[in-house]
Amino acid sequence: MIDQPDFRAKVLERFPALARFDLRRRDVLKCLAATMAIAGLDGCERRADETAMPFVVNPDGGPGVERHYASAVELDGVGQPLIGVCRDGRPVKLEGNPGHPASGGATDAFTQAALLGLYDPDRSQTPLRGGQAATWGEFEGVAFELARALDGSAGAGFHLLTGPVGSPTLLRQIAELRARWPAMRWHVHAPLAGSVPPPILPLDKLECVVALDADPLGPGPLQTIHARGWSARRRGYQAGQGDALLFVAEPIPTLTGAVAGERLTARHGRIGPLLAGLETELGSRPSGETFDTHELGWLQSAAAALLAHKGSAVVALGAHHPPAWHTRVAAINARLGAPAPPAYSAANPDAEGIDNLAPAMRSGEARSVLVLDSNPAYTAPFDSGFAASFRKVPLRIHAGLHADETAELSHWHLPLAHLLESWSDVRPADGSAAIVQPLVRPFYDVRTRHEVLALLAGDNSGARAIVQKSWNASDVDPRWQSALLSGSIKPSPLAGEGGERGPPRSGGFAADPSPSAPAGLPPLPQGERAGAGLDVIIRPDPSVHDGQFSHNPWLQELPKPFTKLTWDNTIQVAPELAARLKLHNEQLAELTVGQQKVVGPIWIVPGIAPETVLIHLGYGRSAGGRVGNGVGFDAYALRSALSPWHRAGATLRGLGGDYELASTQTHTTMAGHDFVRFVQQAGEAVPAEPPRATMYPPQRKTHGLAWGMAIDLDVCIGCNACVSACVAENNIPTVGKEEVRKGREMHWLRIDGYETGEPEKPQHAFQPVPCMHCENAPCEMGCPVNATVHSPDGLNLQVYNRCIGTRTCSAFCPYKVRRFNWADYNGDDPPEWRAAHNPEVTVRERGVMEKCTYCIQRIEREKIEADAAGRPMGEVKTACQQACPTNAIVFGNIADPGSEVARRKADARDYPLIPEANTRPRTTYGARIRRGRKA
Amino acid sequence: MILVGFVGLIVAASAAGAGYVRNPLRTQVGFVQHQTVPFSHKHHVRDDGIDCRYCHTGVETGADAGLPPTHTCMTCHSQIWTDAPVLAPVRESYATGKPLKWNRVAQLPDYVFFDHHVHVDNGVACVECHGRVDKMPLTWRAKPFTMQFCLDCHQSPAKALRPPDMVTRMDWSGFDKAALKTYGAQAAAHKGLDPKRLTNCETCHR
Repeated sequence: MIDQPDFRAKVLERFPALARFDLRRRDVLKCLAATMAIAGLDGCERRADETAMPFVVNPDGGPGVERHYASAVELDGVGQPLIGVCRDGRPVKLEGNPGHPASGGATDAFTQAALLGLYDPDRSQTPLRGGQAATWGEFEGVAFELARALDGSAGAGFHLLTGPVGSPTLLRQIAELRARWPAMRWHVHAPLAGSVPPPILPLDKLECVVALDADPLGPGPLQTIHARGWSARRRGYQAGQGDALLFVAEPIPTLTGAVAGERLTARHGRIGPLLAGLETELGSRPSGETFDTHELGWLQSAAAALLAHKGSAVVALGAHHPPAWHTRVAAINARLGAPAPPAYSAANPDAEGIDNLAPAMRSGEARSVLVLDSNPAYTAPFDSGFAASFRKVPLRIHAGLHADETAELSHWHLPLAHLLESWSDVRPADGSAAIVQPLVRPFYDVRTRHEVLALLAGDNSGARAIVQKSWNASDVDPRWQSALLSGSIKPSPLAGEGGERGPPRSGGFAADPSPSAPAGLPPLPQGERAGAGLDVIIRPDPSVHDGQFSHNPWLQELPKPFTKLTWDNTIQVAPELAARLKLHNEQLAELTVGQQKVVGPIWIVPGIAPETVLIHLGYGRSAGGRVGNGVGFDAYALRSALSPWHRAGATLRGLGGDYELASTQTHTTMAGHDFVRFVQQAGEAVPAEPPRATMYPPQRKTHGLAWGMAIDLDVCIGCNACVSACVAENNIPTVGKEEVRKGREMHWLRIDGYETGEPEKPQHAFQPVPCMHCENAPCEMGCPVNATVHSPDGLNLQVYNRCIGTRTCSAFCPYKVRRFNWADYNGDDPPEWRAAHNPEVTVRERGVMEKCTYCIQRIEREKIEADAAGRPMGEVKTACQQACPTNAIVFGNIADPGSEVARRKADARDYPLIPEANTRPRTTYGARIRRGRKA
Repeated sequence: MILVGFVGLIVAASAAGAGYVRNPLRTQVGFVQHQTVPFSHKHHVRDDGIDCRYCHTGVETGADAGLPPTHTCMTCHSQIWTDAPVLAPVRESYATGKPLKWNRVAQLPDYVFFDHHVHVDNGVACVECHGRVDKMPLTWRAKPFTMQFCLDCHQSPAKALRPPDMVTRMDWSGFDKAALKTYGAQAAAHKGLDPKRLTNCETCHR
């Protein structure tokens, strides 16, 4: 109004004094705001001055400069190579290491969230003796006495319990301890290990994969390397080079099953017969099983595909199935001429399992136990009797990141350093070695795992010296320096145990036909045969894994792939079973197997086999800190040492009450829409969108820049790496279960999950949905204060300092990607979490709308660097794109026909989401291809 | 009439508000900030002739020019004025490893992302925003760091451009104004500094 000449004339006629003010819209709004401010503040004083505190000595690169360091974290003993992005001397983001074959620049969701693990305020900060704060000096005395006693007894009575150990230096240290004290015993407790180490499948070379209850693409230490390989093959198929066939038979939906061309829902007890049936179809065993038509159809097409792709076909069996079956699978694979994979995993064949520890502790043989970086009091099977027998040990020492359930039972708890603040080394999934270098000095009075073991041996060396000793290296050694730069180190011929690798172990491949001894867990499940009652399938949680991430709010709030649930685990059943037992979502139910029972809420998931119940580990912690305590139920209660992954003969009974769950997606059908589109085979096009009339003005274009994004749904596996990366990059607040239940989660990028097809045979599909950056953006039409505007490069901008929180933009958005700060979600964050914030991104306050910016801070960074250097802009990668292990997400300049994103958008499978809204979105999708071969 | 009166009231209040927004009380222009160590830019810059970049090292390479670390102060003050009482906090900081505390002079809101090195590399002189610090015994804010102040240059960048190797020069009075103007226009054209692009929201807000 103020800009209209006749109105101005009228105002000036009445208030001539205003003529000397140049009144414009912006000014009036600003003045109104200032007026309000004055009205509100009687003192109207200046804001308190901020104090500036420069460093005493500048960090590397100077203040505000980004430095990158190659390092790694570990998951289940397997290294995850990464590049730590540090500013002002502290890490603010973790990226994959593009130079490392096990990462290729990608990460999984756990690695992204490891950053917050470093800044966890609930981490153990000082040694504890009997729960009371103590000093390392006091423990050194205890360690000295212990070492002297062990020297006298050759180590008899001393037990070392670790998690799966992959670190060459840790292996060297343990070997040295055992050489010094031959009678000591070493136990490995790997709660998530199967009966054989899982093979690392060369999925990029495999044109046909038949997975029997195996989930190579699922969350876990091998997800990144498998997803990279699988997507490379899939992309080859898209380009017309070979096939990419995936057959999956499984009792529960997995990420692998979701992307399979042919998925068979099979009960746990049918996996054995299916394996036999496969052998029959391939001609190596007389037929003896009977199959229904679904099974027979699946078996025949799987066998035909295997035979048609001899030399590039493989059968994979879930690692938790009996070793004898793996031998049979190895025989099949040998006949198929499958390429032998590097079967590395952190299996420690020369260690005992935890099952041998409990009797030793009960009998009094164990005089002292050191639990290193493991939490058996929580993760041991219920029937191992760990907690009860552990209490009988005269000296119990626990070293870990947290004062957890095991620490509570121990005399001594020693706080370990997070890997991101440690010197160490790891073995990534490809079997190479990587040096872990600290990204920051330790925050607390902690020591690394190597220093704790060295302390026991009476050695006070620092972790760097210990690691260098393993690699026979020194600071000035060029090999060491290049290892720090590249993140991987070549074995040295002079190195001791550190440089060597044990013989490759069998994982269903011909290399080692003899069934290998189980690592850490007793032989499995012949014991429990399916009979009457339900099957219970027990799996690690996709978000908090075995419980080691329950302190991490980023992961707790990460919606799980098939349920989109946050902050809880559930008893999951198929729709038919729910209907038969008259169960509904959120209803509390009691799941009983033998003497054990758990109570948890029901969630109905299509794709679970009939008469099967799925539960996830990692919840129900009693020492999970502020974040993890009291969340979910403890599924370890049903986990038997004899059958850790499956229980038979269970009963499920609905209870009266309901339990509120927080899901971010309340309906999983497309309800007649075509949000996720499918084509039958590679090369097929989606129907072209008809041009629609529009009232929007044409797009302005400057400097030949037009940002856009293409997301290929054909390779998206719904793994959540992108969501986790977005949270880390863009300072996305965690809002908690109550707020998520109200639909107030703040994720800028969500992954929608849909099921199509019949309920018994659902086709799962994932669709990541960031802001579409519409060319005809409805939100921009809705905003009364111009807080959301369009840039000439095609970005849909959100200007936080203009936003007054009317939420009109969100109401107008057809994609519902805008997020509103209903409360000051960052306000009461502990200072540690604030230190994890990305300083390049505004921390939004209450009452402000926000949404995906296409990582504008990265675009601006590149624009500024190019501008300062006088060169054209180079490539910009968004955080989600950089993390994605399948390269499903590509971002770039669509005005440049040579760019990858322009090529993707030119593909016949490219389509916009909700085209009827005619928003001309800059984010478009590539349709999924149903078949893995051309007809 | 009531309506007109109401509108009049709002306009009057707004005018008062506008006065406040631009008032030095709010923008802090000219207000001397007192410091624990009474650091004099006047002495160090004019009398000693130390270049800005000796202490503000990040100015050519990063977003932050950076306040100098205590270590930088001590490169000289471990040799000269080693016993000066005013420098006691500096020595203490160096000895204890605890940072010095300065009261901020130049400050932008958290939602503004200013990058020093792109300005310096393009030839925006220090004096353009920070004023004649060589005349400041204690430092004060020379320019109102309001959005209007930023936009003044972003709308017509030519007027602020100087040869990049001379950006730390404080006194430009000896130069021919017309020549500077011509240089600025040519530099802006050469670098392709487009006011349309420079005034996009995302240039400063993200």
